[in-house]
Amino acid sequence: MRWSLLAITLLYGASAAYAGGLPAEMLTLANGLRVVLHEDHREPAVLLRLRVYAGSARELPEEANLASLVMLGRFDAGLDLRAGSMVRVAGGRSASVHIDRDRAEFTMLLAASGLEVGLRRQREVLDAPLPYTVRVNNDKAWLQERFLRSQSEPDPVITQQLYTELFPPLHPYHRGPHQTQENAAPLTRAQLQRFVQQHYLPGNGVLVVLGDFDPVQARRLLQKSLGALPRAPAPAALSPEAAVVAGERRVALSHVADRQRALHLAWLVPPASFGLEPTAVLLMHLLQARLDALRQRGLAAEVEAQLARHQLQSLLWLQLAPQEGVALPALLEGVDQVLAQLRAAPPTEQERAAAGERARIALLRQMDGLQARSGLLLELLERYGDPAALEQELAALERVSAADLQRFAAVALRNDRRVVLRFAPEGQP
Amino acid sequence: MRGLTLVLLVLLGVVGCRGADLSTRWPGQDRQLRIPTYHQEVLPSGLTLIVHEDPYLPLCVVRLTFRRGAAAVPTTQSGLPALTYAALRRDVLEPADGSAGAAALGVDLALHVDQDGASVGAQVTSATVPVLLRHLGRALRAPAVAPAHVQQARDELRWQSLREERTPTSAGLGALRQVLYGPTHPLGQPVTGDPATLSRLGPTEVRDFHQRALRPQYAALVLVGRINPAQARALAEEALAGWTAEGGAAPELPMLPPRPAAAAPIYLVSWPGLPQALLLGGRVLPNLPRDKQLPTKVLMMVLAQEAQDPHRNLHTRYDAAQDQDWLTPLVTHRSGVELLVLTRCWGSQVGRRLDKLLLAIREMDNQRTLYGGRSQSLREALIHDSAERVTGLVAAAREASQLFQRSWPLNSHLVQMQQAARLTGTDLVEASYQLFDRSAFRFVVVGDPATVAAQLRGHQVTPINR
Repeated sequence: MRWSLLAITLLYGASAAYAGGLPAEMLTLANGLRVVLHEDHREPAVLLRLRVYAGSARELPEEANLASLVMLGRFDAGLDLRAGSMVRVAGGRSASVHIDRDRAEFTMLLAASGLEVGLRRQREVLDAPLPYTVRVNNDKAWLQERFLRSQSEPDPVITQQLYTELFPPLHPYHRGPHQTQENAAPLTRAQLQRFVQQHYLPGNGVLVVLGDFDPVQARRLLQKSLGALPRAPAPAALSPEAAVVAGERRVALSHVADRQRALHLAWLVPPASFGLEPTAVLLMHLLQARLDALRQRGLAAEVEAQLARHQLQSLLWLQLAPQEGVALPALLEGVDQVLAQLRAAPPTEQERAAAGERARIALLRQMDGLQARSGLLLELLERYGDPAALEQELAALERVSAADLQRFAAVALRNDRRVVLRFAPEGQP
Repeated sequence: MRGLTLVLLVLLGVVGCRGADLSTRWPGQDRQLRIPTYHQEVLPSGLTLIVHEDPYLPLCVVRLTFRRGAAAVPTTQSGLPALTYAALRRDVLEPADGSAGAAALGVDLALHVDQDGASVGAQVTSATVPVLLRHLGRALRAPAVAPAHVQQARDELRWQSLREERTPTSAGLGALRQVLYGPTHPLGQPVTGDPATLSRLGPTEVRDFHQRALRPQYAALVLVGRINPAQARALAEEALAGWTAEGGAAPELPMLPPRPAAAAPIYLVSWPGLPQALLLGGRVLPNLPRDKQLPTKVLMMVLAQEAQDPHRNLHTRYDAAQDQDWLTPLVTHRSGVELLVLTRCWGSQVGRRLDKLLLAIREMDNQRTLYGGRSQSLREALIHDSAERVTGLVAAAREASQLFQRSWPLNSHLVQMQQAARLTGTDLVEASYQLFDRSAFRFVVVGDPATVAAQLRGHQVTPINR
């Protein structure tokens, strides 16, 4: 009886929370900049995250590293971390930049009183002039150093190899940000200027303002800072021919800084906007659970399934490490058995429910902490056009059936559509 | 009557929890910074119950944490605690009798073991909490210790142990730990044990350790999220009924003072062909009184800031921004404190980098003015750091676990913030005399011997065989 009573109490609490959803307000300034406002007054802090769709996919083939170089220049314009002045002026806790194939991001976590200064700095990301040549040259040197460093670690090398195999040479995703041997040195100021003019535009960005702020004051400050930028539409969307892996591709790789062995398998899956994202997410969790059984069979020591989300095409990626004494071909055989079962029959309802619970928790966990929540708001905005569409996402996960998972696995996880990367020190099985 | 009691407990819990909220000010803010506070009580079984109610999300972090970690056994049984906890995790997820365990609910049960303690836990929806606790209760009361579970647990640890030898960073950290503590010290041992020791440990040893150490008097159940203390208490008493203190006999082992393996300050781990060398440095401090820990921590932040200063040229600003190099403020154990620094550089620069690091450490000892000038911004940074550690469900649960394992008060973060507000430059100078004693530092270089050896000419270097 007590169990039932407690369960009812806790369940009631859970449903009440879902009803609350993820309140967020969406504004579009006159110049086209989209702004997501999400209040959370539990702490006197505010997070500003500006996403500009200016990732490495926007580079021309002969302009390797351009997106990263521009981002570094905007970073300096927006946040002078070297001098530490930002931290002192606005009581900031941290500031960071991030770039991937689709986007560059500029994030600041500030004390609530720093909102005005922070917005001014975010405006500079969009409209500051190019940095001095000396500064640009320093950034070029750093990019080169960063590339060399990344080559001294196995993970970036593996990642780049997988993308290279999955996407053909002229595809925008073939090359990642600062993941090329080509030096940034030949890039000119004119190229930088053009990239800024084409991509660092209000209509090509989204700003998330999250935390302890007064919405009326925030709107006024937004208008005063970023709203004063001239209107400029977003550049045309990229629309390359979809990449297809025709026939299984097998690659072998080794790295001096890692004496472990691992197996990586990757498939291309449709992008988030295609509407199959919830199915892919659930399939990823289901795969994780099924592959965990390989650990119990003594084949695998570590297993990780992940979905690398992109705008054009996403990746379903499995990483497995074999148990000591298990050869990689034997591990691959075990994986193939799991995949064949998935393609042949739908999972049990219990398995589907467990995968659904994992997916739901993973989604809700993204609400824990300002940084993660800002990412969730942006994801929902990209997927549904509404940053507050948490309920929609939860409902979409709920709708995925066991049969959907089997169908998706049968189409997406074909052996002749995958890349298999075998990572082992030379001479090891 | 029982129902009425439950309702009263719920009401008291809610009132008690709200009444316990403490707060402090964010630097430069009129508004107050809310710091989560924890409800703590000891149940009749001896189990400590720690609850922080945060109704913001429909989630709850469940973390069962123990004060008996890798250092709870003599070095001859190195790895036994980790093996026992890993077998427990396996039992909770998938019972040996084939019945549905926590895995069937979609629970990802994480295990963390360190020298001082261990935690098993998961983040689940509120409705899953009772079921997960029941699975924990079953595995704790009557551990199956199935040979298959022990074998799987051993495989996991063996693999982790091997993995630690197979990447330069983990190999370097392992070597540094041995150098700092000496081979016979419990803190010098890897948490996972070594493959030879592990192969000698089986179900009998696991059952024995479970019986002695996995008892409620050494444990805390930490619940953070949408749950109040009264609900938590009722759930814990119901689910963990029958798990008793009886048979518990795992007193804390006396912690030996660290004995460095040798006096040579620099050790070399050879890694042929490695393009970038790793340079790790560290020292062990005696267990500082709590009021001395804070200045020491701030000093580490000074060093971290110095490391980013391009004029000192220890690293570039970008290095720090990209986490290529780091300094751990302090790794604290119940027996003492480690201070570690790690940097990465090309093999041909390792000598220069080492000299700069040594110079920086020496300079830290006599830069009185530095601390006074920077104390304000450092204090602010420290307060922010404290706040971040307890913001968010997972962070709040982790913090509570660690404080319990080290037997520190649960309001330590608040005390620290209050101390930070009073800290002066003089406090920092005093701490620096103790902290930056260059002779106490040991260094491990991991790199290609062909490049690195020439760079370290002039230093006394001891090779470490791996």
